[in-house]
Amino acid sequence: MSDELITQIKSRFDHATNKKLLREKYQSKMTFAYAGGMFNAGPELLVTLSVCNETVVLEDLYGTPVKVNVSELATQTQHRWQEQMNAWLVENEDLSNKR
Amino acid sequence: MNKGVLYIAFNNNKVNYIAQAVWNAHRVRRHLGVGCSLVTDNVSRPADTSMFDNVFIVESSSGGTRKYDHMNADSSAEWKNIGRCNAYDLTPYDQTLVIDTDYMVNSNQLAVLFDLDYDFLCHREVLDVTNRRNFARDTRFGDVEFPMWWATVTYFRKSDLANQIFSVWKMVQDNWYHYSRLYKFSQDLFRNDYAVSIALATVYGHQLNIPSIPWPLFTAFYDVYMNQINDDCFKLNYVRIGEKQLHQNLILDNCDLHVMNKPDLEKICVNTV
Repeated sequence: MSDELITQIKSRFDHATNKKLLREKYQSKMTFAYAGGMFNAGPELLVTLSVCNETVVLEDLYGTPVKVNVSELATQTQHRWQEQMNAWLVENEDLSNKR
Repeated sequence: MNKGVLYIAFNNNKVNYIAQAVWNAHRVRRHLGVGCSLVTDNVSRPADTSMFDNVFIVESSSGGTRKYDHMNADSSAEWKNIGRCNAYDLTPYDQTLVIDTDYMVNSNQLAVLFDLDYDFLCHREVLDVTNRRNFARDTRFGDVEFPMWWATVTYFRKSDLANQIFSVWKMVQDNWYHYSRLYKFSQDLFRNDYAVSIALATVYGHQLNIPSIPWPLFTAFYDVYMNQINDDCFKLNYVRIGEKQLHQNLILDNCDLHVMNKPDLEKICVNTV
């Protein structure tokens, strides 16, 4: 019997690694481009934007200052963050039922 | 600005890189919404090229001999990986992603790179999807422990900076023996990862603050077997060795993956196209 077949037959779902992998995957998907800069969608950025006025200069993931429209970036951040968190939740629930 | 993906692929007697490129070209259009071009040689040129915007025929050249299946001693073949440094001159796009054919495009993740105000980006970090730390040593190379960037996914736009990086990349390739002595690594096999790392460090003035793709390169090692469940969902089987051997599996859905197990990837590509 081939190694591949043995591996498939004996294999158990690796919950711990899959959970870690899901987290990595959705962390990656939180990154998005805006005004030529790269940002990470999440509560930290949303809180920062909530205390800013119409236009502000923020440091992007590469340490570069980027001039942003606060309401526009907040909308995109909120959208990206919740979209990916919801997808993460659905996948996480799917995985917990797997054997 | 027009944008697209460039595949540089040359078959050898062990791996059908063109089948991988054709399979991925469909996925690039579906997920990233951009076209693809292919750089290949006369021998490898596919019969049906309809999925490519352009096909460029060049002469292939071997960078050495490598093993393709680590479970099979008889899997060595020529690795025709010379010439990636010509991507800047060959690309028909203003913004280009040069992707290895063994990188499965399973999501729109890479599309974000086209919206950035950066001239050249590739991966600095790699993630072993099975969490067995198979790449723990692949963050540096050579006796001098030089930091390594991965050439698996390379984004660039037509610019002076990108032109300089590709020029140095070519210089390293053309003077491989010299650079292997300088950075103290084996000269036996040409590695684009090493060449691009040296090029980046040189152009950026040997400082480490070099912009890279801000998420890790998700990679499955040679001993991970793969099955396709549906279009973008794959089951990965592998063995975890601890006090005893554990046969385990993972589900990877809607997530790009760099696949080192070429035989399994080829089976998937041939069965799907």
